[in-house]
Amino acid sequence: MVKERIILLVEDNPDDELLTLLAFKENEIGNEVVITRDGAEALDYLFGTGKFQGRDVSVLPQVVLLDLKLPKVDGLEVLKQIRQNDLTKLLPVVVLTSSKEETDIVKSYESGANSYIQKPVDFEQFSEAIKQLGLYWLLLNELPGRK
Amino acid sequence: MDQIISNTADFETSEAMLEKELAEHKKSESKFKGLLESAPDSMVITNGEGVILMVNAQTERIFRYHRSEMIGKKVEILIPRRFHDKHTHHRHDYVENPKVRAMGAGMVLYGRRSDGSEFPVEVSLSPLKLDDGEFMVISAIRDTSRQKEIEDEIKKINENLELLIQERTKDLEDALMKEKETRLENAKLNEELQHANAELEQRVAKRTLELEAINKELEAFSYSVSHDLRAPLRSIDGFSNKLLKDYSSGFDDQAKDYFNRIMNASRKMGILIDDLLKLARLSRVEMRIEKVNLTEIAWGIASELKESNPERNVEFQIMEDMVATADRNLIQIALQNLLGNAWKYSKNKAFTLIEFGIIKNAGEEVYFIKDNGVGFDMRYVDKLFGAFQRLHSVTEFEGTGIGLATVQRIIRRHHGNIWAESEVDAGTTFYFTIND
Repeated sequence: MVKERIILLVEDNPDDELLTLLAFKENEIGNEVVITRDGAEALDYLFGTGKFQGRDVSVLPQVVLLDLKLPKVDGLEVLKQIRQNDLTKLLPVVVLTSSKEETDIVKSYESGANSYIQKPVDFEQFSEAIKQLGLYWLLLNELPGRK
Repeated sequence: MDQIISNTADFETSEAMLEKELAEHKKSESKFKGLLESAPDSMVITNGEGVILMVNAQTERIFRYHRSEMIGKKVEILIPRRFHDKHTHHRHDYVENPKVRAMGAGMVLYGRRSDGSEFPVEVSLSPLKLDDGEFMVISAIRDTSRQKEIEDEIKKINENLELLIQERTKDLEDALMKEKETRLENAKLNEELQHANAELEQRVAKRTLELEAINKELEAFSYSVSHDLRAPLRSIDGFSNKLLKDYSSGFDDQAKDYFNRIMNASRKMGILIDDLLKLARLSRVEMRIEKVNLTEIAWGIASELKESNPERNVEFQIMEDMVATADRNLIQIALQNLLGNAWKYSKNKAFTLIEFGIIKNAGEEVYFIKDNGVGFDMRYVDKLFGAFQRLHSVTEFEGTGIGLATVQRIIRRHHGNIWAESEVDAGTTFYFTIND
């Protein structure tokens, strides 16, 4: 059952990717983490296209951790396409990004983000944020149609 | 005898008749002389040879001769010498073909006075043939000098008039010309103005585009700073953290101290970046002006500060009902910084008094925030509001040096002023105005 609860991490910075994975590990979050390194790849994964051709798209991640500044298709565009598709429109998306710019926050919620978290510089704080995030979205939060 | 008597009688008769005739002749002569004298013009009667026989009083007056000086002289004495030859000739012709006529019609004739001076005259001639066949000429002479003077005057007036008309005409033409020039100039000016306007509009449009571009660039810059500058810091801090945590046994205390310094520095830089972005945002954010109760905001900040450090002995004295027309968010940030500074820089005092109120300065309301903290040296006052400028070391008082730069920017966006007075160890007072 735990295996089903996939985390989709959309992150182009390999350091941030590693730090996020380390934070999961520190907080004993053992869920499968699927990593996509740009917006196009993230959409391919979700819709079973491109290099994820043939993937069972009915298997949805428990939560998407989405960076905003991404190559090819940026985070906001990914978010919009997720919300436009019936398959993914209810998928929880947490924006996890460096910026605390008001416009980024507003646009993210306008595009249908469920949460917005700024990655702190301080790793202790970052790790704490990941812990809270995992606790909430992976354990507490209930999603429709999943038993 | 009878014959003699008869002859005598005849003689007497004829003598009586003669006497009677003579008397009558005398009477008619005196009548003629009277007429002659009373004539308004000068009358000169000459014989066929041009010898003056009779003149009247007018002749004496205008030629200034006594009549005894004229009678028996040739008529030429009344004519300028230069005309003598011609006149003599004309006179002979006239005797040959006498007619009543005006002399020298259409040209100016001149008379000559006894003193030799000349004057213009008009002359008309009438021939007179007596019963005894004697030929005489009656000349009526009129002195026309007054008339000529008047004519000359009229001529002069006419000339003046002509001149005046010419002058006025020229003035008018000049005025017309000028008006035409003015109109042309106006048209030219108008064209230039339109040209200048168009150019100005073009420049404004260009500047607007430039400004928009700069704004966009600034936004892009902020965006980039916001997203990209923090990522390396996360790596520095994060991996240092992991090294310390996961490989702790491999490092001695000094190595651990170095790692801690690295992490502190990266976190501090993170805060600096955040502050910098905040400052940049202040200039871009749109203002929403409304009535803002500064007293309430200040008390809110005061209680937050007290909660942050409850063991401190701090008294706030905040004037009641201070209401400003301002942007609530911005003014809140400014007051947070100013009251926060007052709080921070008085932390070493056993008792802290922080005042916030209004004083009147030359009719203007000036807000002040006063503390009894460490103060600063007024020699460095010009560095006070510079971004990242600090008048105290970080070990004494923490901070990035962005607070007062932020406050100044907010006050300026409200078209106000901010300044400070301070004394080392006695405290600092900040003054500011809001003009929105």
